[in-house]
Amino acid sequence: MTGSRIDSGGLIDRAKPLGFSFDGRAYSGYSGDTLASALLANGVRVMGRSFKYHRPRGVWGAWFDDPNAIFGIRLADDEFPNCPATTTQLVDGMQARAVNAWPSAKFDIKAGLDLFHRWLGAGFYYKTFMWPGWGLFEPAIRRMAGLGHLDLNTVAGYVSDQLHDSCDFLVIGGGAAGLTAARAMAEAGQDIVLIDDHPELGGGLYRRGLAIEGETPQVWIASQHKAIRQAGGRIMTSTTGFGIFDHNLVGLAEDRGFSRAPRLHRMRASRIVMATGALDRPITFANNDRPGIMSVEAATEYLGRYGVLVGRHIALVSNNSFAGQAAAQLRAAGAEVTGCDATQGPIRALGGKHLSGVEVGGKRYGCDTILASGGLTPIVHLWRHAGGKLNWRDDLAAFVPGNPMEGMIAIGAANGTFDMDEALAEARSVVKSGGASVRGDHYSITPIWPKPGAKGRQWIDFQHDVTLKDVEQAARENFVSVEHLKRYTTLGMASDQGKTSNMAGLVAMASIQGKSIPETGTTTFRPPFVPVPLELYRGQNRGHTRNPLKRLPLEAVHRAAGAAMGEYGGWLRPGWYGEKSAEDAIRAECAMARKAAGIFDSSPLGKIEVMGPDAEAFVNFIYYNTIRTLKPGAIRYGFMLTERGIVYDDGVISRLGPQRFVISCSSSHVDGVNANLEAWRQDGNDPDRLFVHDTTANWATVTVTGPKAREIVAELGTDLDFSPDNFPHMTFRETVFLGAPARIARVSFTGDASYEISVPVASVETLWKTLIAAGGSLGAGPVGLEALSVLRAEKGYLIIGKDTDGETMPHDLGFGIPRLKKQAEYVGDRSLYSEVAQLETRRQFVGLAVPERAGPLPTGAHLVDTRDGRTVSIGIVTSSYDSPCLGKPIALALMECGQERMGEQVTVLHLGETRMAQVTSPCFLDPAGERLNA
Amino acid sequence: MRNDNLRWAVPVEHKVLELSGLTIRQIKPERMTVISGPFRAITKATGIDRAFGWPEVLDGDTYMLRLRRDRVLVVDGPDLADGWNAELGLAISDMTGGYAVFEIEGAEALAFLRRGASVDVRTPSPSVNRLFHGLAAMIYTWRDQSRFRIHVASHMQEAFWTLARNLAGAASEHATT
Amino acid sequence: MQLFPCPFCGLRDEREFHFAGEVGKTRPKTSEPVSDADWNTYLNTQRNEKGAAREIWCHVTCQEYFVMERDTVSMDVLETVALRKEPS
Repeated sequence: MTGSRIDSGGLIDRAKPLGFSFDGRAYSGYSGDTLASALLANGVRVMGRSFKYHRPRGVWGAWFDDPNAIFGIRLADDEFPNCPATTTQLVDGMQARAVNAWPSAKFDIKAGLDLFHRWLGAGFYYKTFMWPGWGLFEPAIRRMAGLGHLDLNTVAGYVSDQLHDSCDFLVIGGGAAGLTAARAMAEAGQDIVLIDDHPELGGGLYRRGLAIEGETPQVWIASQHKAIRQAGGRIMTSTTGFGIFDHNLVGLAEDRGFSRAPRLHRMRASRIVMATGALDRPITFANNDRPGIMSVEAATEYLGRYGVLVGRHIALVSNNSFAGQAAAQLRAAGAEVTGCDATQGPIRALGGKHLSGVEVGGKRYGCDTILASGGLTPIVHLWRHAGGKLNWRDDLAAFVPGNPMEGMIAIGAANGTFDMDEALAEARSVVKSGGASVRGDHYSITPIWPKPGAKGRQWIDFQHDVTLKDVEQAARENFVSVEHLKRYTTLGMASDQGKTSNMAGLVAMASIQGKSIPETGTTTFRPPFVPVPLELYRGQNRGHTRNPLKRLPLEAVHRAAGAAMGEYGGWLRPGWYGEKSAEDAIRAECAMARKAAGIFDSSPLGKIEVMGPDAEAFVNFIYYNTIRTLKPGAIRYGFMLTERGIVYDDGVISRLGPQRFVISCSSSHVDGVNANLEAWRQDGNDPDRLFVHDTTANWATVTVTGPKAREIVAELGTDLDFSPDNFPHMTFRETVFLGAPARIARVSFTGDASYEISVPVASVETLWKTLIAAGGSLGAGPVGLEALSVLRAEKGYLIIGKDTDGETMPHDLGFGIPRLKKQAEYVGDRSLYSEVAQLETRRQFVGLAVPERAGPLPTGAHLVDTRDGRTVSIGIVTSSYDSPCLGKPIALALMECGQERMGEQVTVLHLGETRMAQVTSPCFLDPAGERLNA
Repeated sequence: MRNDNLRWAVPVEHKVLELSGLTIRQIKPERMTVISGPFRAITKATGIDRAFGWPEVLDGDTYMLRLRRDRVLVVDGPDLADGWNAELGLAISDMTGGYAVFEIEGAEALAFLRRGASVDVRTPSPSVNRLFHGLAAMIYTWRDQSRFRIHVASHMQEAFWTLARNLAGAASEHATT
Repeated sequence: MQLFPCPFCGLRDEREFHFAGEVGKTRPKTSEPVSDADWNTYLNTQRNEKGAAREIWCHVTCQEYFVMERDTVSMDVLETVALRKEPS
């Protein structure tokens, strides 16, 4: 006889029946059932097949301690893999399938594997299936090694909600102890939050089945609930505390229903009260994995919470005083219960898929169900997460939380206080003294531990099919530390994370080693306490909010002009404009920029102001180049190095006044440069005489570049004289545009005369439209980043991080003078004279020329030499384009001894093919700078 | 060379987001100015003698926020010359276009904020600078306990709106369940 | 997730902070000769203490650099020392 629903009792709602299927057969249950309780009520016992041996399995537990019943569940159009049947609330229409079984748990095609168990012990894959080659067997074994099936369709709307939360006291566990402590503290005016992982509060009170403080469990629980609420306490049910992290941050996963991702509370609690209860631990005996063998706690839980009687003829095998209470409840529900003393001798379960009886110390008892309890194990995981130590209690044969920690205490069964009255007293004392352990002796236990060398197959870890023999094998092979035992046998590594196997495993090893249990110790407990979906951690770290791009003030204008927007240095910027193909558009923009002018949005360029009496000395220290001598109204190009002498950023610095500079660093490095400047400001400088303001976001910049640029900017209606004598290259002017301040800097990134016009964001749309209108009649128009990359390469202007790498120093780029001449200290100075910095074979910045018809060199191709018969890389092609203006391909590269090898031929190797190129100056256009200074 | 036009949607002109218990709107102060330097000098230059932190309740259109030990943001303050003020020892930068400002109002306003930042009314902080879901932001209470303002860099305005839509939905829904 | 004390802003989530180096790394005076060994020590040598360690941290949110003494084993924060003067 298997399980059945009793007529009354439990928290289920008999007025709300729900339909579902399991392995293709239809069943019904009630609102408030879990899948496991509903199946048991329908008399279903075999709910799964074990991982390796495909043995039939039923549920052992009633909550997160069950290792056996794992289902793939289909609900409407969504499929969810590997749901534990015992913690999944029943929803109408669920179609459940046992994982690891086909066609069903009851009749599994791979059941025959069990016959080969002698060859499939722990770590068999390290020793067997070697000849003729592991590769022959591997695919088949890997296919059999997984659990569950992953549907590749994503579940719509499966998004977690995450929030920061805080409280003075977090009570974890809404059983008798937790409810009592929470009420006492709430009524004492504390700010408390109480959580419990079940939908209904009460913890173990339903399975205990006795009155508490003179009331039935339901009435008592309701009173506590009401009192806590009235006193202002917060209660969250269906919420699991899955981990405790540094400084009392607790991770809470709040269940929002089956098809919805849980909500994450990042709860910062000043103090934590751990009232998480205790679990029945299994007894290790021969055939202890048969369907119908459950914990005593599970049987009374199914009865008390779900109104399900798990069997009719029950053998109750235990070694402790608590199990006796259960027998009375089960008898009252209509079962025949025989109590067996587990200490009487070797135990063996009889029967296969269907239990027929149990043998204890030679005596046989007929039964259809075996309830086993090897003692209570306090649930101490969270205690260990928080760094608390455990003490071994011989009198309880269990590990209990050790000395109280600052900010956290344990109460009730979780603290080894198994007696109800003592637990309630302990809970109340939390308010007064922060917790005082009350010790009595109402719980007695005769420990029975796994006996290494015992006969028969005895399971330690049900989910990973690890037996006592596997532990013995691990010891033989010297995997004796509990951490090695765990990884070698995979004991405790399944989804139940050893809740039912840790104790048996470590005690068996202790026994084999002749060590005491505390000496052997436990493995490290890590979050999450129960499996949680990855989505819990993801929340809004997805799509566009994961790493959002910075957006331009002119974005709408660019899109209206037909821009193809792209990601450049953390910004969304126009790559090119118009309906043409990218290649054609870029060609056309390059030609236009060289012939008339190009107009482009350079707003992302950094504008970091450095101000104060110490500003001059400061920028002179930060920059590789000498900045001290820069005059107001002038601009200088320079490098910022790291202390290792590597070029970190290039850019221009303008001097606005004796104590005011603006650093225009490259757009992708603004945040980094700002942080770097602030670090040096506070390190070794007087911060009251030096200030760094990043004003990049406040200014928008439009650049006009080309032979006709000057004519165009003259149309802006400023009072400036743009003639080259009055406004030479590398100078700037401050003026007014639309009644607001404007700065015009004559800086070029293209090699043609260029004007960068910076205005407040509010004025930029008018600025752009004015320039476009003025430029239109002269044959000028917008150009994007792609064309700009080609134009600058023609002039040999480098892009940091593209034409430089993590080893490039300024003298590699042809900027050697400050290294030789600058007297003042600067960042990275000493590193430029390290051994490596002085090597003659350093990679230097050069240009590469190839014949016109040959096509551009591949970017990233290696420049190679043959030395001692081997091909070695002596450099890399860093930039490469077809230049429309020059009518030929051009490239830039970093190459060993590049300066010395000017004019020579070099071999270029890429994906097995070689070409020749000539080493040239990186500047292909107007080396005299006539266009630049025009 | 990739055209990401479809990958990054056109920014929507969202001015107000209204949900049950929560309203988010963008506001545009006339002027915002960042000033660094000794506090007494800042008071002298601006005529404002108090800079607010968290969770102090500010009122009025003209106010000063404390960003750092030696830096404030003045909202709708006087028009001061940009640059280095040698007499007072102050660095002054106009940042009117540099921040996007949003007002969050309603019973779920704090719950919305706590979805992006670990702010707690019981934990005061002299600075209003925070991280809101990784975005640098200034967060402060304005006018009453259920109204807040948040400043983000103007180039992150669209990122904030996208985030706000999702977080606001979650906060509003949480309140009703 | 740890809580760190910024000397100005108070207790904040660790995500707002950035480790900036160990206390006691003085930059050698590079206008005078500095040996390779000394420069290398400055760039690369770390004490990596087990237990109490004195470190420089930056509260990125307000960009204040300060000294924090932490226990690198227990994750306890032992002390915070401001490097900046009180505002005048």
